[in-house]
Amino acid sequence: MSSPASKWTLGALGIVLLLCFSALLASVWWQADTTAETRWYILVNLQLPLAVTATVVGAALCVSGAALQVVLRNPLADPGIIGIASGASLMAALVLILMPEWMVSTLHYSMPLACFAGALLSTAVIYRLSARLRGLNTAVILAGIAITTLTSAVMGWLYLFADAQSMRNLTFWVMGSLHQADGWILLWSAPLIVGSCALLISKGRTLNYLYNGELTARSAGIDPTHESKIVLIACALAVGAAVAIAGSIAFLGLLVPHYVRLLMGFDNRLVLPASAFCGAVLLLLVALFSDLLPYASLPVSMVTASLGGPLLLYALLKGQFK
Amino acid sequence: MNLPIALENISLDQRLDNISVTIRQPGITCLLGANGAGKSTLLLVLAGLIEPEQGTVHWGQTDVYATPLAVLSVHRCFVAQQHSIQFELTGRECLQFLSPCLSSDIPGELIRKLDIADLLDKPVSRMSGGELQRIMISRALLQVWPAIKSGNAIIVLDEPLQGVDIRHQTVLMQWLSALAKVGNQIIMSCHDINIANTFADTVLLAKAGQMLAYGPTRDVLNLSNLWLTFDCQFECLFKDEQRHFIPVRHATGF
Repeated sequence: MSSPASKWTLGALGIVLLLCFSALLASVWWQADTTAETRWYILVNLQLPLAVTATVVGAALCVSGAALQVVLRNPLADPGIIGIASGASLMAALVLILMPEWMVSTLHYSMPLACFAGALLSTAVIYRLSARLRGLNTAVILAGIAITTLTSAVMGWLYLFADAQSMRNLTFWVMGSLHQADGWILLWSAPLIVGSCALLISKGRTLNYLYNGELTARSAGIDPTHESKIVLIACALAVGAAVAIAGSIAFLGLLVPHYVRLLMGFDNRLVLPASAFCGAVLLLLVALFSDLLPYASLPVSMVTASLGGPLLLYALLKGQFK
Repeated sequence: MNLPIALENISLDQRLDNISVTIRQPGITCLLGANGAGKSTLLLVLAGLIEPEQGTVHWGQTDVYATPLAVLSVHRCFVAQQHSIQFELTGRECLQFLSPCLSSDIPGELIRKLDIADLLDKPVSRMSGGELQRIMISRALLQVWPAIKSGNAIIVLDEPLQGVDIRHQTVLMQWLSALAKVGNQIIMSCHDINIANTFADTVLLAKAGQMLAYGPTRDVLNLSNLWLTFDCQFECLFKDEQRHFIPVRHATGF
């Protein structure tokens, strides 16, 4: 890490993350009229998976967003915009709507797997397309937009033929939820996300060279094509796993890295871990907030988008974008 | 030592056509030629950044395209013709993030010679073209600063003077001359014949992907070569035994 100040910042963010994590677990004790046994059951089977989901999904989306923005040299890049998430959504929709009756009981496990496969598949398609088009940056974003448009068209057709219950499931899934994952799903997805995030964070120094494009990076001794490929694959793994366990969550990957840069500067050795921490904290707070409400669980995307829109406009006015 | 820099039979994609040249002495080599003559491509090939379809590049004993980029970048820096930074970096951040060797402070000599003290805290989006150019030249020199100090750097600059005002041009060229005197190899393209005439030790004239002439500035820069290179007629004036080239009005080849 470059300076003691950034160490302190990351340390402080880590403490905030721990506090939010513990608060979400401790919220079991605020609920009145439950026995110790019930509380323990809720803690292990509901709150712990919820807290882990919020932490890893927030970190995955934000660190991927931050890395993609630098690699694609476009402040607009976001796992949603370059089509990783939409590939996953399409697979989820296909599974939800086309699945035969007798397989419905396996939905809980087949959905995350389908999402993950969809995310990897769409990344592979986008990467192949952009490699043939040359010029990674713009081509990836354009290919992503094309894939997103195509998947939303296919999803439109699926809606048309779906029955009422499937449509409702799909709508809720598209809005994202932190309550879907259980221990077993987290057991494979959380380590995958943590590993990919760690890989991305370790690329902070390399990503710094990419600020002035591929030529400058090459002249400084980095192979930008190779590094971009690694970053794209790590993002696809992290986002694929995140979408698999929590559905599609809008905006986080775009918003959080921008605020981190606004507050902490542009050093990716700080921006990437700080984005991961802030994303995790934000989703933990959303989970805590929706826990405190008397209604059933809120779709996360609704909360992040309601917060994100105004905040992004504010960042815009502060001159974060050129 | 990275000398001599030897290019043999370089061809690339109709942009370069069978160019062979060997730069033996340390000094400033200036590439001159019309737009699209292949100057930038030749610089990229020579700097080890674009592999040619045909031919080899050697810096001393080093086969450039068989050596990892990270090894090359210790001795060789490159300033590109265009810069596009999409984020609001400041001058200092450009220097810190884009140069691998910055561990502590930016050397005072670099700040003075390129006059970047006021630019360090300025965001790139508010810099003028010439100011950004000075920052990017500083970035490149910083990358090979230890090599420059020990006199074995290869400094490749693609139109480093574009957008830079005349005072900073002169200071920069004088400083580059001084760096060349201690053994550094400086290879640059430019469009100012008089800058090349005043500061370059050798000149390479390029036209349509081919090399027209290469040699000591005094021999290569003459009216007939300039006519061949640019399709444009020049006049040569003498002052204090120094030649100055001035384009003749209404006398282009078009």
